[in-house]
Amino acid sequence: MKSRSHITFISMFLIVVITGSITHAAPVRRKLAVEAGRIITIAGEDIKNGVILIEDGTIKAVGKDVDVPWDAFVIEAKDQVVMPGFVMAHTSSGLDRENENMPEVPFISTFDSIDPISTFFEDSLRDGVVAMLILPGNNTLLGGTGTIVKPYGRTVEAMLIKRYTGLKISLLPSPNTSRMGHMQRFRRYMSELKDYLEDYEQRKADDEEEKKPFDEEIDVTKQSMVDLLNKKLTAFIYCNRAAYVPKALEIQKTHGLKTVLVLGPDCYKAADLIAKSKLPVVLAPQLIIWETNEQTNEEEMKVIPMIFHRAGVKFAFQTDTSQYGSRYLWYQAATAVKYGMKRAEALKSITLYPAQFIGVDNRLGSIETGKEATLLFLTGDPLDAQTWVDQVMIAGEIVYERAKDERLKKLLEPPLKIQEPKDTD
Amino acid sequence: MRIYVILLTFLLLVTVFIAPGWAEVTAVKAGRILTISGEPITDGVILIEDGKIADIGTGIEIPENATVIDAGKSVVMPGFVDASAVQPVRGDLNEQSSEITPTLRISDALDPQSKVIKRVVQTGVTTLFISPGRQNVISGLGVVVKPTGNIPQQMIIKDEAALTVVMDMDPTQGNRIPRREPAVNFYYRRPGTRMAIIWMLRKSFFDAQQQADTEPISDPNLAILSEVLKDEIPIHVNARRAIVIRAALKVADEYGLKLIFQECTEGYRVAEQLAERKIPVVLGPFYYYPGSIGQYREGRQVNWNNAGILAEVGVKVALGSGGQPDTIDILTAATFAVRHGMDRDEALKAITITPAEILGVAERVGSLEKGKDADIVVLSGDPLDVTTRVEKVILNGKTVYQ
Amino acid sequence: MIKKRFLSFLIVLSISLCLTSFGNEPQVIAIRAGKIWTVTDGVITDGIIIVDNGKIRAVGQEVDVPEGVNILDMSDKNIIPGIIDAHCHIGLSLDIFSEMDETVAAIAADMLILDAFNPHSKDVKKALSSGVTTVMLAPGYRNPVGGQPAVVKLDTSKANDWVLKRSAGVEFSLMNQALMFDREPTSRAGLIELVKEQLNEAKVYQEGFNPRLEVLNRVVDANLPAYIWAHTVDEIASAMAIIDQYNLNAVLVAAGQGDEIADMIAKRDLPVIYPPLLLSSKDKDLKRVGKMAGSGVKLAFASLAPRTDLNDLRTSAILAVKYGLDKEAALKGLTINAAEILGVADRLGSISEGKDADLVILNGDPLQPASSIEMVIINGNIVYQRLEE
Repeated sequence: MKSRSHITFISMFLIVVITGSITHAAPVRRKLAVEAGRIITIAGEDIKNGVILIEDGTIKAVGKDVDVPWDAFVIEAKDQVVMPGFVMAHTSSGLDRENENMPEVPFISTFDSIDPISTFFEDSLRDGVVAMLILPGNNTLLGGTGTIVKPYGRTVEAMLIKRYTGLKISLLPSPNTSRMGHMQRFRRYMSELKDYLEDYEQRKADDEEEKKPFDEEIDVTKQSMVDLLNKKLTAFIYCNRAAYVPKALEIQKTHGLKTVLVLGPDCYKAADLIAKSKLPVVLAPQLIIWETNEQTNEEEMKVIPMIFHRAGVKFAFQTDTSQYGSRYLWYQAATAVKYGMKRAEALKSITLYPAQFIGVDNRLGSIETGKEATLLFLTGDPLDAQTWVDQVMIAGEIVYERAKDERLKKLLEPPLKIQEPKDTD
Repeated sequence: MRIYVILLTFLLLVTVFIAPGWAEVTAVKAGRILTISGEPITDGVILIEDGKIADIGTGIEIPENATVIDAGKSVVMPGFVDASAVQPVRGDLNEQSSEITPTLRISDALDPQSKVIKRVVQTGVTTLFISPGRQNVISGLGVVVKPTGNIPQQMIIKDEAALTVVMDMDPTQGNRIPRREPAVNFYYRRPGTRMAIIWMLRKSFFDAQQQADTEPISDPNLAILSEVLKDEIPIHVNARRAIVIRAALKVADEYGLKLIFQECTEGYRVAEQLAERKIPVVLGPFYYYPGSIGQYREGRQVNWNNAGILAEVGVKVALGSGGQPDTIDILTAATFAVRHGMDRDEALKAITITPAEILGVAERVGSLEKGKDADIVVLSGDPLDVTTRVEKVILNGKTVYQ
Repeated sequence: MIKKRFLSFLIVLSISLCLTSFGNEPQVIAIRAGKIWTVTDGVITDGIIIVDNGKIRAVGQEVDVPEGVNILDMSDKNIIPGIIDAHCHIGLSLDIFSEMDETVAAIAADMLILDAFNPHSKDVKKALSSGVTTVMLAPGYRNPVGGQPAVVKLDTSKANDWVLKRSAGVEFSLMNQALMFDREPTSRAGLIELVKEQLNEAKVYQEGFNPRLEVLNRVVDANLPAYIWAHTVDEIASAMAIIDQYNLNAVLVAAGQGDEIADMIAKRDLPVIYPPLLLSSKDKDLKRVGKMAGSGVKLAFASLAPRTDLNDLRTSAILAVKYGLDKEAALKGLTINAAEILGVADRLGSISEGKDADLVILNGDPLQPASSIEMVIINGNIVYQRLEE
């Protein structure tokens, strides 16, 4: 009788343990320790042979001499470089359509238009991007509000990091409009908005005076602009040419907006003006342009990030889907380093600064205690063209592994052997 | 007093007679010299005389009067050879009035004042192959040039270097079919389909073959094609898709042509066949996804490691910029080819000696060897590092960029 | 009775003949001038020009004025030879805007530009009032092988004398404007091929009924000059390559950017007909002409009117001097150089004994913009006189 109860007890224990482990086929571990050959913290000096302690998806500690708890799952990365994931401060990719037809639509949101199966997200994750602010395109005056997502998840809800972030204002005149018409349209909108708000406040004050309940809400089509005026939303103002920059600065000053400037390549000509305004900047993907000097007829190369850097402007990079390098954020940073920018500053421009511009720097952008454990495991130095992203961890969970990337394999390996068709003649 | 006069005259005579004997010598000292033809040289010297490499190696004595360029810790390489370069020409690249224009020489349209030249030099390219455009089935004769000189004649190092043939759908662009309207200009013509392109190509070579025994051939077009048949002028076939490449191989077999492929986006699918036939390949612009070009929505399947796969089975691979003004930097092309799987040394060869051999100018350019042209690129670091800059470019012994 | 009638008839006839001859062509006139710019023999102050039957009989300070001769007193004026516009298209447009380019066919070698000339057109009068007395009428630059230019005087009142050269050569164009979208050639390389093809055909041409090859054959044999339009350096280089290959007797037209290879042009003794310098031209382009002349290239000015709105060819010369051209070279460019290039220097281009009496009278230095033209004389006849205000 005694042995039987032992057996039952042991078998029940085993059943519980086994089922437990089966249901959690890939357990999201609570405690992790990453042992890396080199840790680029961004916040401070690089750490050689360091450890990052992670608990519940948050960084608990990072350093050289860190005690690894006995129950922490150790991720060995002794021959790898670990750094914070890249952040994109502005993009219009991954949407069903970049722009809406009507010029003033601040009430729409990219949340409703993000396409999770777009190859843009698959590529972004493969290339080390862990967060991006997706805003409407450059062809609408008041384009709508943006959404911060991570490029991982089957639905927009699963990808979501933060909704309702940033409002896109584009100073590029719509087709068939001139610059003056475009600016006037904006001013008229703002003036009508201010009138509306005045009336609204008046009605509110009247009701309060009469001790009546006031339950009128702000017109839903105007809500986001009101939030913009109240600094609850940041304006992302797009200038495609240097001539538009003073207009953007005027808008920022007149309405007292929190602003990030999104620039076209030509805007380097306004670098000093922008430096004085101390506004953060997102550079265009094209970093090098050639111009003919009118006087000497010589071809001159302009390196845009260096022009801004020397003027003292803080900026973040963008990417495009063109050839070779500029589709990678690390390549944009490497280009700046090539022409004289310090490595540390260039790396900040693809991690910490964009995180600050979009307001997620409390969680992302650097490896510091208290921030999210969202890291890249690189096969080498981030600015080396031979380095690949080996793994991506988001909030303590490995969401990408290069070894299991089927699409990448197909793109790099020779095709399967097929039988050569026999010649017919 | 007299003594001084005699001494002075003696000195004068010495300078007059010996001075001409002092040739203009430049010496380039560098921490690392990648000759491409042999082992890399550490802390070496290159002696340049009259625009040619007079000597190269370690422990070389530098003549007293030589101009010394001290490249310190920099890396030195041969000037790059772009076998599919952007074209410094004026006007249309294609003669639209006909689809078969073998006698067209793109060298006649060279423009030494073109803005493209200064940009190309700054990326380290010192030899370019300029091809006529891609809108004709047989678009004409290309030319190998250096980005230097005031007039076209000073640029050319090999004229009539190759005949350009285009077999993908490009030549069909712009041709109209006189369905409802009568033919009002020469655009109403073949080809409108791939079969017409291949038909026109076959017919041209057939006609040339018929003339094989006549000497001299009166039709200048057939005369050029006849030289191609006799292997006197190389032939470059522009083909992207695997089915087009296979069709080209068929035509080559029929007429005994030794082909060289340009663009060859799907070359990896026929890698073994190309290796078997020893067909060299000049890879054109690189695309991550086929939709990137937009114009030709063919069913192109891209493999990022096209260059690596081809090189692996022994195909001679050259990396070119594909005539795209935005991607003239072939050093970046080599860097990314290595990233995607190509062997390092093969990649460096792919922008130097391999294209030089393909173009038939390897006795002059493509590597740093005694007797070759002094075309040298000085780099701030490892060539395959994206943070490396081109510090200096020497062309024919003269510094043209720094 | 009949004798008397006959006699009176004869008297009336002879008187009327005398009258007519008086009205049309004074036999001899003497012009006294404050400054005579002979161009070839320096400037003569307070000199006299004797004009006899349309030719210059004598010019100098100490010249005998024959008895009873009409004296034109221009003692406070400047006289220069009639200006020669080395290349223009005036009088070629009637209703259709541009009859200067036969653009339908790329090869138009057998066409004579003279067939399209209208001597009564407004731009001829404009040219006269700006001091131009002789022009080379030329086809435009839109045909790789254009027509045959002509050299004419702008006084067409006398039936025969105004055409100095009916066919002065053959015009070729290597400029990008010769490329068309729907007519061959469409590319530069195709253009060069086409020109060479024509010249090759012309080389082997024997007697026959092909007027096009006939005239090209004369060009290939260097009997007829080739006027080649080439503006940029690469176009000029292509032109020189063709000139060298076929050993042509050639003149470069509109070689505005030739200063960059001026030594190569000078080495081949290639004269250049320079494109007009306009007030709207860029500084760097205005400096080129001085550099080119400095390298020893012979330059003549052209207005290319009415394609450009240069109404006054003298403006080109004045601007050139302002931007560095030698004054003497500028004046020569308007006169003797053009005459030599066009092959009419035996008759025109300077105020010298034996040459035609084509004269321009100004109220000041000819190369000063403030000077205006008071009178223009062709073949000893006053063809233009400024109205007193």
